[in-house]
Amino acid sequence: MSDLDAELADIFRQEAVERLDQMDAGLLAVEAGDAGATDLDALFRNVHTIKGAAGMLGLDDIRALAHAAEDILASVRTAGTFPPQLAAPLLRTTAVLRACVAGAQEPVSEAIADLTATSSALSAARADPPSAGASGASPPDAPPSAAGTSPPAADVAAGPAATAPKAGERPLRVPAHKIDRLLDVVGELMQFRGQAAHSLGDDGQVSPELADLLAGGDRMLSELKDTAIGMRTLPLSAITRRLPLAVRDIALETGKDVELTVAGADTELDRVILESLHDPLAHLLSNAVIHGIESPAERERAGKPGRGQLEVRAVPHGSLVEIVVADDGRGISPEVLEQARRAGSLTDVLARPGYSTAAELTDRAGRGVGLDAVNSYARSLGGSLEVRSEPGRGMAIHLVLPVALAQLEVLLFERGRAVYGVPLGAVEEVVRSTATLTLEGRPALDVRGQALPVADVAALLGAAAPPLGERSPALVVSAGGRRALAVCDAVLGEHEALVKSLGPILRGTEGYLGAAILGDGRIALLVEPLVLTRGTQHALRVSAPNAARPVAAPKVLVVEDSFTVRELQRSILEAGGYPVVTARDGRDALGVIDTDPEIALVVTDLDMPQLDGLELTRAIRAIDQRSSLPVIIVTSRGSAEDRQHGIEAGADAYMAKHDFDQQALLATVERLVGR
Amino acid sequence: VSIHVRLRVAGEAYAVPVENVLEVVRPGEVTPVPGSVAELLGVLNLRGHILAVADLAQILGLTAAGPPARMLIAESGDLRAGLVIDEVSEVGELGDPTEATESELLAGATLADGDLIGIIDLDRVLSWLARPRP
Repeated sequence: MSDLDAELADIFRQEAVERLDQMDAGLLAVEAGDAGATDLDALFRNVHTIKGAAGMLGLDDIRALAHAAEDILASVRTAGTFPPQLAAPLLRTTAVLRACVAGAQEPVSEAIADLTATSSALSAARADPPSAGASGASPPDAPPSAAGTSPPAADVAAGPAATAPKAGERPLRVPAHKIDRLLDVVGELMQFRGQAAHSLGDDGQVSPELADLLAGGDRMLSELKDTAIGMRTLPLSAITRRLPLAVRDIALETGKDVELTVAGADTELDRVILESLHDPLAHLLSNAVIHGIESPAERERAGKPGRGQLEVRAVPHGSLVEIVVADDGRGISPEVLEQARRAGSLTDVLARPGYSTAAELTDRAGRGVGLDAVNSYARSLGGSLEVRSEPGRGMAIHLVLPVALAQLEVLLFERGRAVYGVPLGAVEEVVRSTATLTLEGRPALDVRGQALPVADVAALLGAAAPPLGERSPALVVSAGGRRALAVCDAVLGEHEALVKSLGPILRGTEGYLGAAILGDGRIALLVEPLVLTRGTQHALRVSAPNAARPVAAPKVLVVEDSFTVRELQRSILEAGGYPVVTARDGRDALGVIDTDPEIALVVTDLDMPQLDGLELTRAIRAIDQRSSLPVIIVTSRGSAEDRQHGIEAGADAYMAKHDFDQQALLATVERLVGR
Repeated sequence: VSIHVRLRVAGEAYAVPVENVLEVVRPGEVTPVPGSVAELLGVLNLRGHILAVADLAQILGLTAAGPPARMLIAESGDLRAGLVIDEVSEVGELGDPTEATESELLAGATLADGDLIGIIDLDRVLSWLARPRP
């Protein structure tokens, strides 16, 4: 086969699979009785195109079978109604076509015979009693409609064909490797920009003109990055289109009645992740149908509707996507619930290697890939898996995955002079490690009323490092259904990491997602969140507990759009004994001030979306009862002019981020709220 | 007879087939990877790529004489690593191994210029480094 032929065959395969997906969706609609004229037109067009393309490439089996299917669809179109019982044999046809397209040497004669038999049976049924409602006479050789003998048939008489896409929206086929290369180059460019920023030093050292040019370049770079990532993302529907068919087949086979709904199908995910997600998702659904959903009779005895509900739901959260597979079936047994109570986590019990939810194993689930495989799949991508279930009320499996593979938002932190990163999505907040409690013989720390296990990052990773200082920062990490505190020397901030593999030499070393190269050329190891929550046998060496927090300290509102800065300020102020509430921008802050009369001081950033620091200060000054509320502006803009703007707006203090230190902040707060 | 890179590790003489050597550089700043095998010193940033770095003396069961001075970037199959050594003495022709050695990491040894030179089997050395940690 020449290169051109190979390329053509490849394009044919891709296109045929897409068209078969569309046909399956259309046929399922026909079977459910809610197909319209446009669905039938689309079915006809798709099978016709597959036939034509297969003919050109000399794929005679595919052409012959597509031709047989086209004949049936043509006569149905002429007859004007689509008998739902035709859907099943046509679905069998698309399955055979799919196998042939994928390269299977499957004989098509059987499938053609199947179609012919169906069509003759329908002709006979029609010829027998004079049927009502067939619109006009059908050609004698056509398998005509079976209206009157069947459930509601689709009306195909009216309705315009689906409109063609506008020129600007017409899809363009680009080989995936070209887009991958584009994304690589963008990644390298961002890394290069980071190095440039590092050699230029702080913003204060460049001229305002250069700073403007750089900022403009950064905006375009960021847009370029988003566009490039956008080209590699596809909506979840690219893999969920085939799921209703799979669920229907398994339900039929196991005597269940199940309805699958897909929500958030337009949520976009990296193509590579989507491709790898299909099998785990199909597995979770198959598990839910076989082990989760009860038989209709059992459901009715339990007072549930006979038809089980199965849902796939995708919810985007920034650079992560949460995919939930939920059913309303029997859920976990009380025994498993008891095990989960003892283990502390249901996820740990069910995702344990070799675990199965069924007492007796069936062919499809149980054996083969289990929940532990799906769990390690999620972890390998830097994501996580969590299971929630109650006996009798169904089960929900939450998969959290990154939107894009190459890029990952991480929180950088330092321990023993080494820099590490952990996916930002796994970090809830950063606190100061202060008074330690003991939880089941291990060190623990009280975070907002909950005692969480606490451990030194160095001990968790097995790294050599000097003892931790007093009140070191601690990341509140949530992974694998567990929350824990990981204590480090310093939190460095958020970073959009270009994830690089550690390479084959380190393939035997577990616990890392890869590495990122920082602007100064240093390497940050990217740690799997689970490593930070799984606990350690090593004792934590933190200093003696602090004095108890004084009662009724003034409450501080921290307004800041950066997660890192916000959490750092929170932890500094909380360590200083002040209760803290936070807001993400000025508008959010005004809402908090409005509802919380205890707010005694505001610490705000200057540059924020929606309502900036100056506007917020002016707005506070304009509130009748709160016009004297002290405001501290903390910002990276430190010029005398900026300071002047701040004071004019009514700020009580103005602190530049580059000379920001915790003692200065605490001293200013103390001066203003006078403890 | 084939071309080898001759080097000194912990004061002893060794050689590596030249086709396995990509370049010889000064070792840069190495970031330790906690949890990896003991011979691995860590990873370093080689012109934007991550490279695993190992101590060749430790791999061969020797005690390093001084601070690492040079690093050999070695490759075999899909495995690539930086191997820290004392120095490269010369690049030139070397006879086939004449002496058998006990170490599985050596292809044998040969006499040249009055030195007994151990010929390193890089495929085995790199595969040994890539072994899963117990």
